[in-house]
Parts: sequence; structure tokens; C-alpha cells
Amino acid sequence: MLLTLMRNEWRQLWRSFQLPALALVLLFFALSDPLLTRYQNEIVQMFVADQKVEISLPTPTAAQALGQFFGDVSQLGLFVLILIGMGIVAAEKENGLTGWMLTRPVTRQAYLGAKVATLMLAVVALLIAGTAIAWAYTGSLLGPVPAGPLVWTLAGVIAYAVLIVAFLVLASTVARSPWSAGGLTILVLFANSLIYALAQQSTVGRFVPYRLIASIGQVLTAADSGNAGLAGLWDLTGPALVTSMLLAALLLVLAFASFARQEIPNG
Amino acid sequence: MSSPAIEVRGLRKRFTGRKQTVDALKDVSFSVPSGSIYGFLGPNGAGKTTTLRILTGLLQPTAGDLRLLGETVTYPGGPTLATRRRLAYLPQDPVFPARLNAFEVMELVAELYRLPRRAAAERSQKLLADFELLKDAKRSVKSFSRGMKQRLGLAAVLLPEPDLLLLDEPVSALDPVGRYEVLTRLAALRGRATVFFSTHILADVERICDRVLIIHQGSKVAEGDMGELLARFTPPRYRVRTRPDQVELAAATLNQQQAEGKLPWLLSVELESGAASKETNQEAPALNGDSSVLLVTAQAGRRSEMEAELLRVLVNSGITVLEYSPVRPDLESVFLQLLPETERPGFAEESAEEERDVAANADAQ
Repeated sequence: MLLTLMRNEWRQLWRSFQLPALALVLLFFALSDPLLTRYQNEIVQMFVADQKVEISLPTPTAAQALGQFFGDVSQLGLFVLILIGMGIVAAEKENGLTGWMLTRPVTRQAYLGAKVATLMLAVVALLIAGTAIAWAYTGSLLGPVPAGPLVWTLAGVIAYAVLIVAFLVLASTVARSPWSAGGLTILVLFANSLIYALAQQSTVGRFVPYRLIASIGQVLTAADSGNAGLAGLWDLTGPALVTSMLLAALLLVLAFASFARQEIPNG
Repeated sequence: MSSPAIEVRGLRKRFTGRKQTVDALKDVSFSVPSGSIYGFLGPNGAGKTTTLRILTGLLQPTAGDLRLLGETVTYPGGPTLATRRRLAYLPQDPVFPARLNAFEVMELVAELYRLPRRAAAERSQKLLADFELLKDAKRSVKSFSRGMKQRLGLAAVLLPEPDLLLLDEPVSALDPVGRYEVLTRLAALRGRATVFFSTHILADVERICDRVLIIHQGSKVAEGDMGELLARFTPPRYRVRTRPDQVELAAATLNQQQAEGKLPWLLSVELESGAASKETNQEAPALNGDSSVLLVTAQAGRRSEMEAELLRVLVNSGITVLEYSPVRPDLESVFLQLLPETERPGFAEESAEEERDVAANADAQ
């Protein structure tokens, strides 16, 4: 039953252009960020050529290009993810589709589980594919990137995306409309970054999920500072990664528990 | 004897909002025999859809015991998966995954009910053809009209050949031909499956139902076998056509004899087209209008007395009777009789008229 529901969910996400939109955003950044980083000095020189000013810029690095890619993904990419996920349950509850599905031989756990699994798998697959393209293209333009820091950064971004999906699912399950679910998620993300800004110097800061995004640059350049080993990388974002996964699990448990008891007035 | 397909005892549903609390269902009990076609009647807002949503597990009852297909239903969650595989529900405005076409919707339903793939595909094809959806079956259901969605919904509920069909206003969006065909199809399920359908179209219920439940404002007002309900709630009535110049004489004669105690069975005499209806033990009917047809109504259970005396009395009084025929009782009469007086057709107009008269009298004084 779960596979049937996941296939249906996949068709809905794909045919409604939600997943293609996320794929295009990732592809755009995977191609544009390495290119812009590679030619950033030439672009700047071109703009100031008439002013006879000499600007000395550091040579662009592969880590810088990938840092730009992950930075863009963690902002615009996650914003697109919020737009996709905010209606995951709320929109269907509103239009009666949840009622239609739940009056077939479908358990509430399977209905919600298929949605969560499909969206998470799709997001993780797209992030891996996007990163692979960005990594390959960066390598061809700016030279190789150490695999360890890249994989660790990707793991952090995936964990952060999973956390957002989990929160979206909970918000979409309890909210009355998709827009209130989306708004609530943006508020929580803002609070997350605010807490990190206030606590980053303390021990607590190491556990705040936003550290996964804030430390992208440090992780990617870990090789330069001699921290490219697992211990060094773990020290940078390991606690935040664990916190994110635990929080995601907790949010999903809450979402399932809430959904199991809810009344579905439309259907 | 097999157990009822649906058993509901003391069902209550209260919606608690921030501003007000609404008792949508108040102690409703009924039982739907297996294999029957059961009509669930009530005006808009009576609680029909709420009852169906509770039966399917979408809503939770505030109180009450429910059994579906022999299984006790518990909440939250509603019927178990095993029970849900034996039932199918059609909401009033069916919604389907918007990006799928009709074939894919049927395929999804077949997979959810775990139907054998090949047999399900063949049956889907046939059902879509029966419901005249085959030529549109590859179009996204998002572009379907309300009527097409209702037909697809009916095809989808019939696909798994369920033991129990719960249908909420299943033919409300169909044209007369479509309605006739669907009702005929539902009637053909009698004995093989139980059909429980809500509607406010009385003719549909009358056409195919064995039993009827009528609810109003969340309370059950009547339940029973169609014939029994008609007999219980519609008094015997005859249609009598006289010469136009004799219609008043005919009415006066009947009223006179009733006043003298000679026609104890007589309940009322009224002009067929006139709104005025007076009890015979009051004054003579005000026969406005130009109709020459009287509707003579007897008290419930006194049909034979009326049949024995009515024609004889009129003929003996020198009235020329041009037509004399029993009025077939209909569900509409039962339904209207069971509604509170304030909700019967014409009440609002009459009230407004009375208010205008009062206002006019006050102005005159």
C-alpha cells in the first residue's frame, strides 16, 4: 500500500511541476555558481576597466565555488522547498482529497508516511544530484575538491533539509491552510538563525541546527586548516547534525500522532 | 438471518467552535438490513453528511455505538482496514488526485483495494464505458465537470464490488437520464450489496429504496419500510371532479354530513388547486379559484369507510361526479408532514402575508 501511495505522490509532485522546479533551481546554481566564481575577477575587472583602478582579488578556489552553491541552495532552494511542502497535507485536507484517500482502504499512517517518504527521498536525491553536478563542474573549472569536506557539507545540508521537511509536515498537518503552514515554517527558520546568532559563541551554539548552514564555508575549507579528518569535521558541525536529525524525528512523531486523532471535515 | 450492514445506536455529534456549539446529531439510532437499498432523507443541514462522515471514520462521534458489516467501529480512525476493503464511499462532490486521468484514478483505486490487476483493468474499462467516460479517460480529472466527477466517483465505488456502498447525494450533479441510469444500476445491487444513500430528492428514494430514514435538524423523525411509512403518514385521499357549478355544493354537502356526524371518517375537503384547506369540523371550506376538483381526505386507517360512502353520498345529493380516483400517496407528503410547520413550503409566504395584513390593519386604525 505504501508503495502505491508513494507512486501516486510522486506523480502529483512531478506533474504539478513542484519537483521539476526544485530540480531546475538546483541545476541553475550547480552550473552558475562555479562559473561565476571562476570568472569573478574578470567580471569585476571588466566593470572597473574604465576607471583605471587596479583591484587585486584573491584567486578563486573550488571551495569558494561550492560554498557559494551550498549557500544559494540553503536560501533559495529551501524557500522553494517550503513552497512545495507547505500544502503537503493542509491543501489536501482543504480540498477534500485527504477525505477521499482515507475513506479507501488506507491507514492514516500510510497516507502521511507516503507523503513524508516521497518528499524526503526526492529532496535528498535532488540535493545529491545537484551537488554532484556542481562538484564535477567546479572540478573542471577550478580544480579538485577534497571529498571528505564536500560529503560532510552535503550531509549537513541534507540534515537541515530533512529537518525543514519534518517541520513542514507537522505544520501542514496542524495548520488550517497551506499558507499558515508555510508562514509558520519561515518564522521557525528565522528563530533558528536568531538563536544561533545569539548562542554561537557558547556551547549551545554547537547544537543549534542553523550551524549546519552557517559553517558551510568552514567545513569546505577544513582541509586548509588541517581539519579535514572526521574528528575535525565532526567537531565543526557534528552536534548540530545530530540535533537536527533528533528534532526531525520528534517533529515527525508529533505530526503522526496529531494526524491520527484529527477529524477530517472535508471529504 | 444475516446481521445488519449498519447499526447505529444513540449517535450524537457536537461541533464546538469558538463562538458557538452546534449539535449536528442528537441521539440518532437506525439499522440498515444487509442487501437493502436504504434512503437517507433530510433537508439541507439535517445531518446526513455528518452521519456519513462518522460512518467512514472521517469524523468522530461525540457519543454512540456503531457497527459496520458486523464490526464495532472505534474512534479515532473509524472502520478497520479489513472493513474498509468491503465498503466504498462517495462524497457529494468527489475529489480525485488532480494530476491523474480517469484510467489512473481507477488504477489507484484497484491497487488500494488490492484487486487483481488484469481483472481490475477490464472492469475499469467497462465501468468507464458504462458511465460514458471512456473518451475522456485520458484527460486529467482536474478538467472534469462536476457531473463527470460524480460519474467517475460512481465508477470508482463500484470497481471493488463492495458489500456496502455509502453514497452522499450520488446523483445530485447528473442529468435526468444519467440519474435514471445510475438509480437503475444501484437498484440492481439489491440483495448483493447494501446501498445507503443520502439525498433530498424524494422521487429517487421512492423509485428504488426499500427502507427510509428521515432526519431533521440532527434528529430522527421517521424510519421504516417505504410502504409502511406511506401508509402511516399519508391519510387516504380521493380526487373528485364535479361539474364546475356543483363543486361548492359537493363540498358543502360533505361538510354538512360530517357536522351531523354522518361521515366520521372525513378529515378534510379542499380544492385541488387552492391553498385553502380547512378542517371539516370548522366552517365550510373557502373555495376560491375555478377548479372543479375536490381532494377529499379521510382519517388515517379509515380508507374502507371512505370508499364505501363517499361516492354514494355525492351521487345521492344530486352531484354529477365526472371523475373519482384515489390519490397515490407519495413520499413528499410524508416528508412535508414530518417537517415542522415553519419549514413547509408556503409557510414563509403565508407568514409574510399575515404580517402585511396586520400592518395594513394597524395603518387603517
